[in-house]
Amino acid sequence: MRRASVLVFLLVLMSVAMPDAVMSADDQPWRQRVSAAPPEMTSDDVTEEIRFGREVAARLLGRYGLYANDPLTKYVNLVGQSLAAYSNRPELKYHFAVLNTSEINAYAAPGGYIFITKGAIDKMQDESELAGVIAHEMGHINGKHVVKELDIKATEGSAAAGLARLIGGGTESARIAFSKAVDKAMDTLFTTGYKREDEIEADKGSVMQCAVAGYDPAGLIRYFERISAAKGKSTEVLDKTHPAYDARIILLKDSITAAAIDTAALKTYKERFAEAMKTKK
Amino acid sequence: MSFRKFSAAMAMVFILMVMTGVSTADEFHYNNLLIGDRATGMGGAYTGVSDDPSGLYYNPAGIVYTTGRNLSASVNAYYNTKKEYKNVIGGNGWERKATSLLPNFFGIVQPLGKLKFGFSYAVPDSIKEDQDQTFAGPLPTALGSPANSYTINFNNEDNTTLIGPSIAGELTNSLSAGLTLYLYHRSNQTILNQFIMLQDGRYEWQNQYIEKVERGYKPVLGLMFTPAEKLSIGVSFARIFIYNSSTTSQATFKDADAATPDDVTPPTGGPPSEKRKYPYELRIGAGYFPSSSLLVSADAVYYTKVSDPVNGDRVDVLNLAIGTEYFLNKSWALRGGIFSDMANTPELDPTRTNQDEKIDLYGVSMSISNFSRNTSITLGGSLTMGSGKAQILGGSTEIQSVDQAGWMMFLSSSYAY
Repeated sequence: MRRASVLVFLLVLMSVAMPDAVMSADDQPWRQRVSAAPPEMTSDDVTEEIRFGREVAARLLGRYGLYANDPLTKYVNLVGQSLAAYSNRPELKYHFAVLNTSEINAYAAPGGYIFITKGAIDKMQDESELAGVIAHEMGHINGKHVVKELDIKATEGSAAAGLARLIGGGTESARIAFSKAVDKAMDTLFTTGYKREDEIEADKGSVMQCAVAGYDPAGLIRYFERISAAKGKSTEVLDKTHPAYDARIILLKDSITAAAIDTAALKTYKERFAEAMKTKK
Repeated sequence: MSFRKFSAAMAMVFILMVMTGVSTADEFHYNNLLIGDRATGMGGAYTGVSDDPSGLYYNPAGIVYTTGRNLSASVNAYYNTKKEYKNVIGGNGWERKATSLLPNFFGIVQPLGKLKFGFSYAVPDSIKEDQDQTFAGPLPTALGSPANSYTINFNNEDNTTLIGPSIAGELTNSLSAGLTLYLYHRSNQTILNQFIMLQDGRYEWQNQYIEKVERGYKPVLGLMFTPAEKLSIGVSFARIFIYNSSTTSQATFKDADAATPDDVTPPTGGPPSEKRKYPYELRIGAGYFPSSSLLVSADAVYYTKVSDPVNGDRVDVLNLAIGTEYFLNKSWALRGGIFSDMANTPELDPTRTNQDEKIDLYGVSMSISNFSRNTSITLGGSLTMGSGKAQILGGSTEIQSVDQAGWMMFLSSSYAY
């Protein structure tokens, strides 16, 4: 009994003594065998990404519900598709929708599913701000941030893989892993957030994507400045899962300067946005 | 009463023979079954590598370095062993064969926060041993008549199972620690039937049945240290602790002069004091990774001596293993290894009786793996052989030479998802 207590103590000690440890096989890349080199992405992987994203999208819709406003949804889709035309992932078909919540946030699910909340749209003043938010979310999809983090890829269909699954019971494992990965993706969206470098990549990407689509990339800066003042329940998830606004605004400004973008020459489409907002109930 | 003592007592009654030193799942060796798919191909030289689910068994600290998000591995193996005891009865030898087909390992590793968790199932020892022999007479006996024939039927099933969780984490960039806490279960059932037909028409018959169950736990504490790039040193420390042990035995004996069986021992449970004592196990291993295609590893495993008057004293043992892995390309890998499996019994003393056999074993192993994106399949096998001495006849000081040879084939898969 005493020995068992010591072992339990050791287990607990290990779990609390290592919170700052950086666990990674990447620290010792020489351990990686040649068989573990990452393979090229296949069309089956894209299909799996879309299947995964659809599951995450379903959970998002289940949580908030769809904002039933066809004209507004159509407008958001038009803005989104104009940005998607410049996406570096032509294999994906993007879908855009408005979530029926006063929370201020936007979400990207792998495979091309982008959601923006009604609360976020309420805080916007022109179309370039909407484009900036959508472009940021598109950056997460284009950068495959969730796909890489959760290692989403197709199940193999080869005979060897089938035999391996037969021996090891892998089919059930894969199904469970899929479900767990969706749970983790939801965790990323609502609790832990993306990795800091992923957020930076998405912010930087939004600058170029907005600019090439003809939108003023400073729209995202204006939006950030406005919602940074909005404290409370409506920004609780957003604040918890994203880096500080000050740092992001500086990064966006630096990116615009570095790319020598003349924001004055690009459009905000303030009037068109205001017209679309009239459809809100 | 332990089986060893029981057999010895029965040997006083029998004129011909009663076996002693019954090898129950080969308790005289510690390295009976190699565990893990990659590890088995490398002769079990895996303590310094341990960066896949097999590490849960060898050195849980190594699972910190598993690549891939979730990993599972399972191994199904077929074992075949043959022992030949020479000159046991009138120049005749005894032959015992053992086979076993079993899933001998399953392990899964999964990251959780900054730690890695694992769960594994391992069968480090399993045997299904049979001896079915009839020796034709005339054979000398002390029953007043030579024997026309002597028949022995021996069956022994013994399985050891380990199952339990693991946790591991990185302490510094070059040091990780891990702990596996296995539940231990061993069940052993031995049936011995002997029949002596005498030339004068009388016969003597004996039947013995022993069942033993042990329950305990086996903590495995591991460390993995990286003193230099491409080199890792692993150390793990383990021991089996028994918290419950029970024995049931029964015997029927018909004396040559008796009309009916005259000595029936009802089933009895063994007293708690019969808990088997196991040695401390210290594994030290090194893994050298000169390139992404080549890996060389070596292990030294030391088991302390055990003083156990009930189940037999055990001497300290040092087993060695060397293994290598070479990738022909991204899809195919070959592995090979050599290993020792030294007996934990003392040298046999020609002045004593009822001593355990001593056979030092040496083995080679190899395997070939095919890798695809998420999975790998491995086909492999090993050969083990050795020779030594045994005292197979109860109550006799005679010592027999014994040869042992075995082979094993396994098919395993690992799966990353």
